[in-house]
Amino acid sequence: MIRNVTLAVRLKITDNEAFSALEALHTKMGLGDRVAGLVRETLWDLGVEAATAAEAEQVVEEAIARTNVFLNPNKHYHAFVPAAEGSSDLDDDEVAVIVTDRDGADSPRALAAVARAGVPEIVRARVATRWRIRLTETPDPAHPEVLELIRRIGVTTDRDAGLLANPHSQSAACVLPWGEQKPLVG
Amino acid sequence: MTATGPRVAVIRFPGLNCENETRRAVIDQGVSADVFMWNGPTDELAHYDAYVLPGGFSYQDRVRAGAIAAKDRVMDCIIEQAAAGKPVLGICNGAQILVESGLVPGLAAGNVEVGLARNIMPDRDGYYSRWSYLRVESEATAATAGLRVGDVVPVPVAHAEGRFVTTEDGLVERLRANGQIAFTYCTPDGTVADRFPWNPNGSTAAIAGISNPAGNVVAMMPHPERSTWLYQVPETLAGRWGRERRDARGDTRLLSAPGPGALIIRSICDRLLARGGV
Repeated sequence: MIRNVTLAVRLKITDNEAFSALEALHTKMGLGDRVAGLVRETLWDLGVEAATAAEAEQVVEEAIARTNVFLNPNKHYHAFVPAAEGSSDLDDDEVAVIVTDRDGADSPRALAAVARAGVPEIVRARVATRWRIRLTETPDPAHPEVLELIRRIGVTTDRDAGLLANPHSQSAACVLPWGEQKPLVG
Repeated sequence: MTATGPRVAVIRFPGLNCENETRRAVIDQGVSADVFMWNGPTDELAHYDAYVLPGGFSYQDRVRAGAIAAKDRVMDCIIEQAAAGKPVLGICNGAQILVESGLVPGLAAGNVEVGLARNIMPDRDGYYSRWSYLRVESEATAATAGLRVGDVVPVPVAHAEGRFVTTEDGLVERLRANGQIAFTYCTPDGTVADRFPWNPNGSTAAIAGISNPAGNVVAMMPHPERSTWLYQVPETLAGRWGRERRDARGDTRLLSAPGPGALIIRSICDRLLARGGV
């Protein structure tokens, strides 16, 4: 059976790209009072041939230990993203925007990674970027206006609005701290 | 070049790397040009008669090529001056900045209506550099006013994110009808190229450059400043320009003659010289 394993990878050192994005949100988009921090992660969505979810994660851990394909343990942290509906690895004051290339232009990189890993149990891979946005106010499920803020951060509709995804070339979804996921750009 | 003649500002964002040769390409057409820092005083910038956003990697292409530079305050001034009719040319990363600013195609003013997505190429991924052939599709833009529809202009491309895409239905048809498609990628004989390698990035409708509706703002992925002089043209290039380059071998005077990219830069400069600045 093919099981989905989602691996989140981020730098141990300062991430200049996230730093620049945060600075743009603060100084160029006027969101200094709404956004407290930003972390960028590479999300590997892997299809693993395994009997159980735990076994699938074990396969990926072994691939990480034996190869430097999905991450370099010297400079990256990694964690598995919970798959169950309604579960989340985000903190209470965090939301996430997941950005993927709309037409799979990132697929060659992912497929090449699978080939390089040489682990036959890993049968497919997709790659995305997850931006973890720490808000200055903890979002509340009863106040859905946080979605408007996430859209303003995430989707570039005009010069003043949106940074993380160009909707013509990229898809974007947001993840709320209580595990709910909503599309921002289809 | 005169102190009182038209002046072009070549904007230097952090991470760009083509500003000096772009400036030289403009000066070679008899127009004064300065490299202007992105954080320079905009009241000075506003006095220039035209603007070029050159190629490179503004902000190291962080987040997405052109995305952060598009939000810089210097773009307020460029947008204002573009609205006043002054020519603006974005080359490669400059084109990405114009797209992310919503300056082009500008059908709904200010909206981001297209994207410059990652290249799609068979059996390869990422950055790609080669000579491309451009077919002039419209004479109604500042960069093509001195050319004729159907002219073929060889110009190098060098990018990883240059594929014009849009999710807006009918947008490409509207651009075509408005004369806003300045250039398409083509084969050396001028046939519009729908596939690699002549279409080097999988661009929709083989689009290599577009303009705003007024035609004074042009965003193009290829680098005309890299083919401004004949000595920049490879002898192996197919067609007229390769032949001229071979004929010029060993003759420094002939090698310094204008190359194909000069025709594009000249279009903009001629427009400035004709009206003596704004």
